Amino acid sequence: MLQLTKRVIENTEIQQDICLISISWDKDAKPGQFVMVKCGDDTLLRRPFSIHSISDGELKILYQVKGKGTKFMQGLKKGSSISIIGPLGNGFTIPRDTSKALIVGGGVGIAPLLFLLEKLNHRGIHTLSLLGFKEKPFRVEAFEKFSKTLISTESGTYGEKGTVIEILREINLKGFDIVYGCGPKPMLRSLRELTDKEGIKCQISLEERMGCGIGACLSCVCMIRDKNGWSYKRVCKEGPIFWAKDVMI
Amino acid sequence: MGKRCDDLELSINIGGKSFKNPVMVASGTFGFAEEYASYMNINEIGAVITKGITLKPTYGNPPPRIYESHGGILNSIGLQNPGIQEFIADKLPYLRTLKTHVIVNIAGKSLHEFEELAKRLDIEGITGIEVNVSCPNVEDGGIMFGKDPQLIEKITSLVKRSTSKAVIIKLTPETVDIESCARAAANGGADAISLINTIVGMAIDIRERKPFFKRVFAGLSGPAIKPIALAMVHRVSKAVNLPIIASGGIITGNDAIEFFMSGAAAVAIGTGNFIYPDCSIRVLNQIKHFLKENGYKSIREIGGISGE
Ligand SMILES: Cc1cc2nc3c(=O)[nH]c(=O)nc-3n(C[C@H](O)[C@H](O)[C@H](O)COP(=O)(O)OP(=O)(O)OC[C@H]3O[C@@H](n4cnc5c(N)ncnc54)[C@H](O)[C@@H]3O)c2cc1C
Ligand SMILES: Cc1cc2nc3c(=O)[nH]c(=O)nc-3n(C[C@H](O)[C@H](O)[C@H](O)COP(=O)(O)O)c2cc1C
Ligand code: FES
Repeated sequence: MLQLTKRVIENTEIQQDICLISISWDKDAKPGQFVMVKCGDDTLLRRPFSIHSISDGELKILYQVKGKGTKFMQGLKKGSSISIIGPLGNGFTIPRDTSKALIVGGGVGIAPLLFLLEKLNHRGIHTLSLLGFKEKPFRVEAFEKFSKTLISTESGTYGEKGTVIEILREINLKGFDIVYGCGPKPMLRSLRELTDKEGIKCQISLEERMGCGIGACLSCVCMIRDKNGWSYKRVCKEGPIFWAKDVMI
Repeated sequence: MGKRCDDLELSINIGGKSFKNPVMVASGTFGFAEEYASYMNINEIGAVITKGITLKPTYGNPPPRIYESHGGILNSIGLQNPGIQEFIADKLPYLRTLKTHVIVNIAGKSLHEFEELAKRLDIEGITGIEVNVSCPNVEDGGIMFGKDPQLIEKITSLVKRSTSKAVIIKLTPETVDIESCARAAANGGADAISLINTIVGMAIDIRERKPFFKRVFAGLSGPAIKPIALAMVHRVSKAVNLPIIASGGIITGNDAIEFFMSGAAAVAIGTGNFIYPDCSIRVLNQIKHFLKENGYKSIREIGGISGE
């Protein structure tokens, strides 16, 4: 059964409205996969969250408090139970011949990239991480454990001033076999353009509003290029990870 | 435990076919069943009703397609489906492996399309056809088939003539006179009536000052519509002598019991499948529990309410 009732091990606000929750967990998953969380009785639909990491019997979710569902999560105390479905979706692809990978994350979009980074590191792949934030960075130390990490903030308070795309433009993409990205849509668009221009492989994680999370309701579709022009693909099933060149956003 | 439950009589009849229990899953919320296989034993429920099938593949509406309102959800899927040909080639083989009834939901744009769909589905592995009469009628200038009793009767008799399967007419609540619509289905020869489909609603993105959905209007489902569904099922049960498959916000066994008491023969779980993928099994177990707790021997004993 992929539907599970789990215990909250820890739930901390690491900065205003950015939280990290650890949940008891005993299953494997692929980086890029996500889970659907039932957020109490005041909401109906489960909320989708990327897997931030899995280790030592714990699954971590890094989440931003946005509305009713995430507010409920914020209030979860250690020891309370939580209903989860997952792991779901396809996960990132790591091509066989990869020796250097670039990671690009914006805001809470860095969430799935840490899990990926751990896997890349484990496979002996060299990595560089570029992380962009609005004002105050978070979880940078976790990334630094596995790779060199460059930071940007829109306010300029930490690291480079501007978005992560500004740092990206200064980097020689040709030095990488593949780029992985997750973040706001404008960031993903720029990432697609830049990697397209340089002819570098790029995978991105997409978000869309979901109903079931398991491929049944067709709520979560996005336009993906294919041999017939394009078709709607389900973010929860064929995604959330897509090749950037195929994504029409 | 299992043996005890089996003492309860849960089976029901629709169109001369026996269903092992009255819990089904509603069209469009259960895909083509395979999606739910790792979350529950699909064979335990009374029937699977598939996503709506059209003659040609249908792309559906641009995203976003779903919105959560208080106690309900709005959807604007736009009938995305692979079309009848691919359904038969790719989806039916799995459905045929199930040890429960399969009801195929169909949506036509014209009388001819309904007829064609019904004919092509008159094949092995399908128990019934659920006719969704709530789509826009392109032929007659954009009104819904489902609002017009005469058209409902026409479609029903046409489909009935085109198939040996049980014919279920799924009514839309978007009508003032649900009784006339139900009678029309009965006159056309329907074996059962399914209701309610979603109710028209909308949401507005106030920052953008735009409708949330590109198509502006969407279909409301979930607990928010349950009281409306209950009233409509009750009205229809008084108007016609046909089994009713009720849907509209059924999440728990007690919800289902309310529908049985209001006059339904069976219930279909829709939005509930999104909240708990095994919602239908939960509802089934809770129904059994209620029956036992209250000394009923059969699901057929709980129909009706007193004090009307
Ligand atoms: C595959 C995937 C992975 C995600 N991973 C993360 C993550 O790791 N960390 C994180 O903070 N957020 C993540 N999100 C976004 C997260 O799902 C939303 O922020 C969350 O659902 C908001 O719920 P709410 O009730 O607080 O907000 P509300 O705005 O009250 O939610 C209302 C409805 O809209 C949906 N919704 C709102 N925003 C989004 C969104 N951006 N994407 C999809 N559905 C949305 C909700 O699920 C809910 O159904 C992810 C989204 C997807 C699709
Ligand atoms: C996402 C979604 C898709 C649906 N698709 C169909 C469909 O293709 N054909 C149909 O007749 N009804 C469709 N329905 C309506 C349901 O079958 C059901 O009648 C309705 O949602 C009310 O039940 P509920 O409140 O339990 O969801 C759909 C409902 C939802 C939420
Ligand atoms: S959320 Fe239901 S198909 Fe993706």
